Amino acid sequence: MSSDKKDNDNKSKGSEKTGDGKINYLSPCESLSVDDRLFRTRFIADTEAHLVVDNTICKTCKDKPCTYVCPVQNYTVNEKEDVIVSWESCLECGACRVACIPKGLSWKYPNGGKGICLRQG
Amino acid sequence: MCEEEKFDLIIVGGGLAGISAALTAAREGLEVVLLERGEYPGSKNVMGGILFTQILNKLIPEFWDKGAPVERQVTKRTFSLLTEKSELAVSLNFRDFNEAPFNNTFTCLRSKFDQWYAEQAEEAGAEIFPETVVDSLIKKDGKIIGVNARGEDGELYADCVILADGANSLLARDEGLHQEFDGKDMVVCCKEVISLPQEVIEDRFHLEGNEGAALEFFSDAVGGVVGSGFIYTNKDTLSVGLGLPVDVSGDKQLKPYELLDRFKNHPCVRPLLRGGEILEYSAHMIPEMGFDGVPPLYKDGLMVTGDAAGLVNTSIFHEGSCLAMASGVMAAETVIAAKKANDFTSNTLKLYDEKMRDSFVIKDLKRFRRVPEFLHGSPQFFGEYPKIILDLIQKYFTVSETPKKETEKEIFASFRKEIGMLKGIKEGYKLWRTFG
Repeated sequence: MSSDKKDNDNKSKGSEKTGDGKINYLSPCESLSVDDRLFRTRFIADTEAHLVVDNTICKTCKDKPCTYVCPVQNYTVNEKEDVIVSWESCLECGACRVACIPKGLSWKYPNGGKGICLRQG
Repeated sequence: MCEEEKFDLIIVGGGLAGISAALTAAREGLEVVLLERGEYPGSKNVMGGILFTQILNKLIPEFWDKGAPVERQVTKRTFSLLTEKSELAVSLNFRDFNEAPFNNTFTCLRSKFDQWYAEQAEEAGAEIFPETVVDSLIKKDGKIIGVNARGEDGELYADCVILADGANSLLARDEGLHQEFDGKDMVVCCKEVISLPQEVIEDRFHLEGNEGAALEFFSDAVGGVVGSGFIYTNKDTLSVGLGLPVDVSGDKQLKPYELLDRFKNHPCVRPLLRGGEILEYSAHMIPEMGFDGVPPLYKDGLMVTGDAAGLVNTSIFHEGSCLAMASGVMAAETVIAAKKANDFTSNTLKLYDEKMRDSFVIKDLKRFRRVPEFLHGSPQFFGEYPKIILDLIQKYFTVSETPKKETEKEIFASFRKEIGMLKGIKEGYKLWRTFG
């Protein structure tokens, strides 16, 4: 049990650290879930949604490409078959807007200074 | 602001095109304001990671000695075809590229670079308004005379407006300069900046001093569809990412972040990334419609530059940054000429179009105008063919007791069966016609 837990810890942290705290450069590169990846990226919270879906239109869309193209999986379908968008963690790439052929998505830029704020780019 | 107290020039967007325009116009004494929607120029900007600097070096000669936060000069480039367990690579290593101006090719992290670049424009006299989103343009008698900024900034007026608002240029679309974007022309990219110590990067990629490597991977790197994966070496980080067309992602139900994880774990890629820690995750779109998708570049009081005009050379060169900078400079030069003539209508602004057509920007796009059609219409070149060819090459290099002549016969027979001579010639011609 405890060894399982240790494995998981190593997995979530990615690169293993040796006893003296140095990184072992023979261990695999870090691999993170989408959520954990987002924790490494800086966001400045906006107060209003810049992405709004119209589920009366989304209902007519069979393939729902937004649920695939989004690099952070911001589009999910709930049990009522409604498309839910988590606009707070949007990377502002615009792929969903291009993919949305039925135009069930209203997409605008977040307010000035809000949204993703890259330090590396 | 009222119409009387107007700027000479408003630039929408603080990326390479916009800042180049601001710097060029400010140096000629024009009253320029650059509107950036992010906290600072660069905060919304992402590219794979290669900055082509022939224009930058003209604007700021020997910028690499003047504090420009570029990462490494690219002396090594690799183009790899990946299948599930194999790699076929072409590697370039030209020592002359390690001498100034370093083949005008540097790895770069845009949030750092663009901040510095914008500071150079500010020092030249341009005003930069960050945290300013432009929702629409102001028109009078059919001429663009200003912009509507969201929030308290309100209306801003100028003799001329340059759109440099990037791949998602809603303003250019709203002005009718281009149609709604098509998923086949837009490539969605995701990217991780992965931290590794400088000496590990230099040992692993065989680099000395400030040399850098740019590695591009095709085929299985993106699940066997059109697109590519990349690793670029920065000083003490790697830029690792991939891109594929938006429509392919949707149609084939391929999720970019899942493909990125798969790419990072490819047996030929994994050892290059060992021990790395993710510093940042980002995504962006690249407009890859090519020459035939370039919109009208100007109208009365308005010019469009950079990604907003789809200025990306989609070929093996993958140049976008230098096209953006060149377009920004040429748009600004046109504003300077228009100011002298005191005419900001199409009559003068058509000079921008003429300059662009006379430069490498439009000439290169035209040279490779068949590439977008090839990329979209030839999935076999990204999935089926690499697999067949790498299998045959593997067979050729497999050591056994089979006499080489028999192996050669077998390989030839497999080629005829899998692709066929006639089709091989036809497909070869198609490649030559597109790129040759």
